[in-house]
Amino acid sequence: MAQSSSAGQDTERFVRLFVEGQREVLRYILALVPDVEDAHEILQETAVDLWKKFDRYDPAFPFVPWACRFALLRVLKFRQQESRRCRCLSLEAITQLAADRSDKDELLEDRRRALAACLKHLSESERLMVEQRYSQQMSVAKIALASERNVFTLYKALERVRRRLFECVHRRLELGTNR
Amino acid sequence: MARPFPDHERYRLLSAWCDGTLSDSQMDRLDELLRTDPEFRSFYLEYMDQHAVLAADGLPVGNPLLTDRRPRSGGREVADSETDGRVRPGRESRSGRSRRGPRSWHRWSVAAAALLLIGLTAWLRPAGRRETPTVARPPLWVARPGLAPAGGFAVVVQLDQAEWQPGEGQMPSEGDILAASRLVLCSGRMTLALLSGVTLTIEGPADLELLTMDRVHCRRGKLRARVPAGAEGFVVSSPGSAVVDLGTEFALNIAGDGQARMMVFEGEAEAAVLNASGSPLRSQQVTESHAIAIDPRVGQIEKATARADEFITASVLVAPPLPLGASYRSAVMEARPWGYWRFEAIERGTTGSEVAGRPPLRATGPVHLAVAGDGNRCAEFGPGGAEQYLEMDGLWSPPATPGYAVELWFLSGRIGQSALASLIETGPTSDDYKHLFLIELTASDRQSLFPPGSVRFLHRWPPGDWGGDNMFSSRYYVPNRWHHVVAQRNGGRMELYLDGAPTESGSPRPDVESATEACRLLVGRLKPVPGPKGGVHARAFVGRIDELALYDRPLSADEIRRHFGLGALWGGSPGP
Repeated sequence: MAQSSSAGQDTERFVRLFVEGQREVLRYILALVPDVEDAHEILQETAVDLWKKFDRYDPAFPFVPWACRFALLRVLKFRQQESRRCRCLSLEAITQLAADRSDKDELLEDRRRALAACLKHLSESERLMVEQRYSQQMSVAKIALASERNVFTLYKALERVRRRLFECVHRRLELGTNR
Repeated sequence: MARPFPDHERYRLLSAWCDGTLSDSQMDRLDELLRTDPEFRSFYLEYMDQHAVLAADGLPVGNPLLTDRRPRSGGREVADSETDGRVRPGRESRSGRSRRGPRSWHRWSVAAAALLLIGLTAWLRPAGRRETPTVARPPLWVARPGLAPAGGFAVVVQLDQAEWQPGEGQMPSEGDILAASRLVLCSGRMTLALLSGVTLTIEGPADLELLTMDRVHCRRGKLRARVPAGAEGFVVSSPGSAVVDLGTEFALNIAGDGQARMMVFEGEAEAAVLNASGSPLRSQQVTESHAIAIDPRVGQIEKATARADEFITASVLVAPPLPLGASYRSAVMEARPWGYWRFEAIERGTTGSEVAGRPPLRATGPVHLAVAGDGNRCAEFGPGGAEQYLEMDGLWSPPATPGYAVELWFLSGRIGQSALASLIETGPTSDDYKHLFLIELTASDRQSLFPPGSVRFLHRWPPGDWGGDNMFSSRYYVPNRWHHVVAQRNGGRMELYLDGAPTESGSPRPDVESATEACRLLVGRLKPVPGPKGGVHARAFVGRIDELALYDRPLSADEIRRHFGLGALWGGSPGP
């Protein structure tokens, strides 16, 4: 009975930590594997790995970085297994990115806060496109069909919106207005 | 370094990467930039984090733009099942699988959490994917946090596209240590390192029973075993037959009806057909480059044509990277090491210290530098038995008070008793070298009581060739995986940390010594060449060592965790 109670507590603790941290882990994966479906599949595999190894998790360490290490391994496995189906970054590129990312946590957090403000500066049509592409996960082809626009034009428009957001965030951080 | 690029190109490149529309040449360009241009990598990380935030979070919570509007075309809603059937520049969807509905991933994630909470074992995936794998409840052999389960003796070193049979046997992950258990591998390969030093590779479909570190039973499948000196007598039994290794490398193919073929690649082995009581009925010794066919149904062993391509090859273990960047070096330097060697370059046979004025390490034998990832290099000690080590071109006197610390990262190529770093007394020669300090890896040894698969910390005062106090890590080391270790004396007590975690077992009682001794530092070998007559002097390390640091004080637990964390987060082992 004591053993099952302890196991139940572990389960609850794991679920709480994972639910709290899964978005950050998903973001970590998406930066290396931009396709949302693939990233979710990798997140699924990562969750299984984390559960299997949860008894080795040391609460003195933050959960997300520990989880991201497993996610990185799953990204590398994904790359190995799916290299024929999809275009993937090389092993060297992925490991370089993983190493560089360790110094960027604070900056990326600042950028995320600035992004929320910058989204408000988009035009109506730009905001709709971002919502369709990201929130509703519509393909560009479907957005083109729905909006009766040329698909190439939409790709260009997305590129411009992403750049505008990126540069807006950069300016806000430079001006120190991200409070 | 890649050729410079205009500003607009990088936005175009990454936007196309986000949408999956890169051409082959563009993909090559992107990869080249990431590999060679740190500035572009920084841009990539910031840009792709923006994409990741939008994709993972949708629009930020609380944003009034978040509506439930559906896309419309000509006054009607566009269902997800509709496709335009028109021009698709590039390949927009990599997966080709049906997409989920809006925000279904979020509902899925919460549902997955609920499944875990109520302990269900089924895990459903959307239609169109491969057959559902099963996720077993945590196996009962996962006993205590960070510790090997009682009776654990085989470490899962590498899995290559391994698919397990649901409901049959265990479904381990890399780094797990297995006790006696059954493994049913549908496909793919698994490489195990037994604590005896035996390396066992299995290719599915296979049905295998791990019995002890000296014996496995294979009902069917293909396997290959490498048995180092000291581990002879390893047995693979199968229905009606058995093979015992006499110090060698052999491969064995076992069919479901018990028929088997065996080939010895190195050394010698003995095969036998067994009677009903399991005793050898007939046996045959097989030497290098020879093969036999075994048919237990008729009690027959015959010579066979030796065709290597009929048997599985030995696993190629690709060393994982350890891309420790500038932040790691800074963290170590902040701790004010006495000496710190990163193994970034060898000049005139030596590799220099990051701490100005400290002696370099001199290489003896074929030890060389290898790329550990991200421009980080390490010292690599290859197999083959050559005498190789690094020795400091100077002496160090580890303080008795407040103590001292030795820190390093290592990746072992095998389970085997091997020295990582040692401090040897200098002075008048005697019959043998006298150690003050030693960190080494252990393996199963019938002539030793050391727990196998552990990191051993030895401290001897006064320096000698026997005795001293030992500590053994309560966590095991995994071959082909990076581990961080700190062995230190702290106010007279011994402390040992593996992967940031302290050894929980009590250290020997505190020593009251107050003196020290100037010592030689040796890396990768127990004693230098020439060795003393008789006795053990090699315990040669095979694998990689990096970021070796000596301190004139013990490190704090926070410092150790921080150093380990910097390596583990983005490159090292996820933890034991």
